[in-house]
Amino acid sequence: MNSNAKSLRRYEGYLLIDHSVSPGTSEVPEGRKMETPTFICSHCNSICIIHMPRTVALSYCPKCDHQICRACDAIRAMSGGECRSFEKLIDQLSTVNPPSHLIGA
Amino acid sequence: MALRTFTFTSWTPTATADTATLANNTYMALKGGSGTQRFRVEEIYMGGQAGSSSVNDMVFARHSTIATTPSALAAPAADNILDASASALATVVISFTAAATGPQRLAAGYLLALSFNTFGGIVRWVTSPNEVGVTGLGNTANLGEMSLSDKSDTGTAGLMSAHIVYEPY
Repeated sequence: MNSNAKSLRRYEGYLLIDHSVSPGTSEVPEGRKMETPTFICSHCNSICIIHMPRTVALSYCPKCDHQICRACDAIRAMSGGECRSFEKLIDQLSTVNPPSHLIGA
Repeated sequence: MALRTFTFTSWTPTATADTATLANNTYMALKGGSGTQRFRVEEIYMGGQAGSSSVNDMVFARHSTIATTPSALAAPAADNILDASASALATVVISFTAAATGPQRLAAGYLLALSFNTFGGIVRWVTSPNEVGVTGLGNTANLGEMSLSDKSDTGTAGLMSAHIVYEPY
């Protein structure tokens, strides 16, 4: 077993919608609290909510080794597996690098 | 490079359709300070302050038309560095809630939809510490400007408070 193997969960963010003392919404009703992981689509940079429990596999681009949203996964499939990484696009357009602790994270 | 927090307390968003001009003090927007500046958004927090039930259909989205002549922040909005000892950047990201001509939200540019009830509701989204996050580049549409605003497909928006933590570089 490779102890240096990294999980894609290291890229997950966190979303809280707390209506525990609020009338709430149809998605998160009165008295309920929703806590869920999120990820940022590597191709379009949008924030995606991971529905719990994890019953459906998340879309994944093996070329940039990141999770991607379903719309981008469909585009990836139609293009024959092309990786349209948002970060690569930004890097091509910019001469400024992201903070060093995030490079190759 | 240092994290900053853009705060706006006690404001009421207004239901505004995509590609319509956002009215002053109904949004929180970030824009690159130069054509090459990059910034990343790390956290969005919203707390409801309304006195009765009202659902805010908040969306964090890129802009199809950027604002012209953003106004300097005025109370109750502020933008502060999180680490007091951090050095200031030569070029700062422009955070604003008003402009001579307001920005317009990109129809297909939603980065996150955060609908919540402002009568006691709380929302917090934070990115992974290993993720660059939502990225802005430059100061033009569509990558250079983004905002937190109300789309409001349902009802009337209520009073709320919010902050956006971001890092310019």
